Amino acid sequence: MNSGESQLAKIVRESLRAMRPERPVEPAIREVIERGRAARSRRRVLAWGAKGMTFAAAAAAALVLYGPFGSKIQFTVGPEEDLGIENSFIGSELTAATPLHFSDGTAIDLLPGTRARVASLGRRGANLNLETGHLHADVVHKRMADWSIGAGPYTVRVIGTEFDVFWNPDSEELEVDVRRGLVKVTGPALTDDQSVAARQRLTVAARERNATLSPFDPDARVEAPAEPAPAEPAEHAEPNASAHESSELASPWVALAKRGEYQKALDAVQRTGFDAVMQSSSASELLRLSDVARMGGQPARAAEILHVTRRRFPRTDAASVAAYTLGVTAFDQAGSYAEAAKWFGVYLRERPSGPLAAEAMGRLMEAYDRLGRRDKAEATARKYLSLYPNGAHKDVANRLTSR
Amino acid sequence: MWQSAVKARRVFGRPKVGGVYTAAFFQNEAQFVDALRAARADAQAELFRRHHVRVAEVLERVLGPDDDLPDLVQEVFVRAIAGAPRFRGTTEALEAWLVKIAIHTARGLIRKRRVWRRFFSMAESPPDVASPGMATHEQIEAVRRTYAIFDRLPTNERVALTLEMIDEMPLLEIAESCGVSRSTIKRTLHRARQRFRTLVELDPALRDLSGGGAP
Repeated sequence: MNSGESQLAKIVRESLRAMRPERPVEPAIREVIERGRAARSRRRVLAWGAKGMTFAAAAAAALVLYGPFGSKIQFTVGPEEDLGIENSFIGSELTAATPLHFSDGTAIDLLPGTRARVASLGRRGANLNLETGHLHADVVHKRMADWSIGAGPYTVRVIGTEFDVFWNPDSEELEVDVRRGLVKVTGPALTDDQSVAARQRLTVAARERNATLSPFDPDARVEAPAEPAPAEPAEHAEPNASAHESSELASPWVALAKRGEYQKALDAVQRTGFDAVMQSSSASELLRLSDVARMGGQPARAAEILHVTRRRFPRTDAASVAAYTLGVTAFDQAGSYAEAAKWFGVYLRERPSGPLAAEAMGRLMEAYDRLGRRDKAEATARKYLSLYPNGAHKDVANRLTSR
Repeated sequence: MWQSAVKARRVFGRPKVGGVYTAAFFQNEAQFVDALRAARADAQAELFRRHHVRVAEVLERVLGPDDDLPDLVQEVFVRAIAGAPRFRGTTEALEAWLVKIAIHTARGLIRKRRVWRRFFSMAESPPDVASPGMATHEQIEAVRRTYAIFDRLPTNERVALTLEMIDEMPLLEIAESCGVSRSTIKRTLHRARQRFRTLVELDPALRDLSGGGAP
């Protein structure tokens, strides 16, 4: 190539870069995986064809007769019932539970702030890993069912029952409350398989190697709070909380949102006028409304609501939660890691020991890593490991500090 | 609140994908490649995250700005995922492998479009630039005119020359990516450069941009 061609090539290269639009990564990933699956299915069908129509017909007949019993269990995620992917992490919303529905009828609810992973799917059940938080499981009783929940070093084995599992990786505390049926728990501080029957509660503190089995009244348990608990109550608490709570009950869109009818909730807000609702709603309502907008397929509107929350309620817990949520949205939905790092940083400055600090720091570390800012990623990883040695992001932090 | 088994079965019929993909991390790179071969979704997602920028860059540099680019990037990864069980290299070889698939995909598309144009007697038209992003008018024009010339080269020459000129790929790597020997790629590039220079001389705007074509 001569110098003139090199010069032209340089202009073209730079122009192409300038012309390149920003594209979100996560939707493309979903589409690639779905297209890959569809292609695999097509190839399987073609392979059948090659082996002869008779065989294919027999296989189709067998599939019709035995398919539901011979195939792996599948599951959906969230109220929109998106098809779930084996071994991918699922984080519940900050203000609402995320339901998982399995094809055998089993239902598992990840309560707000919970992170879990459907580690494997089988023909007779599935294995879930509860990274942190609280899940409620209603496993359909079937002969030979094989369900298990992993929580840190503990495994809860189930055949058919309804129960709750709480796992706190920081304090290494496990609680299993059984409402119906029977589960078996194995792990440190437990001798052999510890059976937990209906109306029993097993509490294990792994560090103290202390396990207690006590009676449990399923009717007495209060549902986990829908909003994250404030970290620094008095001066940061939103004023007139009770008044806002009553106004929340009066808003028709809130009731619709609680039932998971996001589109109807958005329509209700639209009728009142978004601006009016944003100016009159409480901080907790605004956070919920942003969730509704996001789940209703309006991410830009969700971001706008979060910014309004920060403007209207500065220096409150809600403002910090809004900053964290802006970070999560930028990270997961837009793939904009610089933006995500900015908001996680804001949260950590505002609430260094807040309830979402561990997650914010873990995500900040990942965002730096994705941006290729190795020094910052490594420094954040070291800080993370010193503060949260058993945190949900410890594997990533170890990887970043060891390279 | 809990969904019945009947409803649960109904929803699985829908071809819809969602879920939340957060970062997938593996104990080591060998485990990542094993997971990829085993068609694990988290490994497939990680493959895309790691390499989509490079794949998009190669496709864009070979084809020029193209509205179908996002689809083509996905197509490359779908092919890669389908071929992953037969991949025998390490993670270091993954990018080269994906680039090879990208070049193969781009070449197929160029040929398909040429056949289509010939079949319908369509005139060779300069590529449209529909997504100018942050580019200036001059930049758009330079790209449009350059790719109009690339479009007039035979497919193999166009692919080799864009990789050498725009992507600055080393000669040996071009040969490997195109699946030909070093001497073959040298001959192809020699012919491509000659044709390109002749065509640039016929375009006054490009001639100015390339400094009057002086060697």
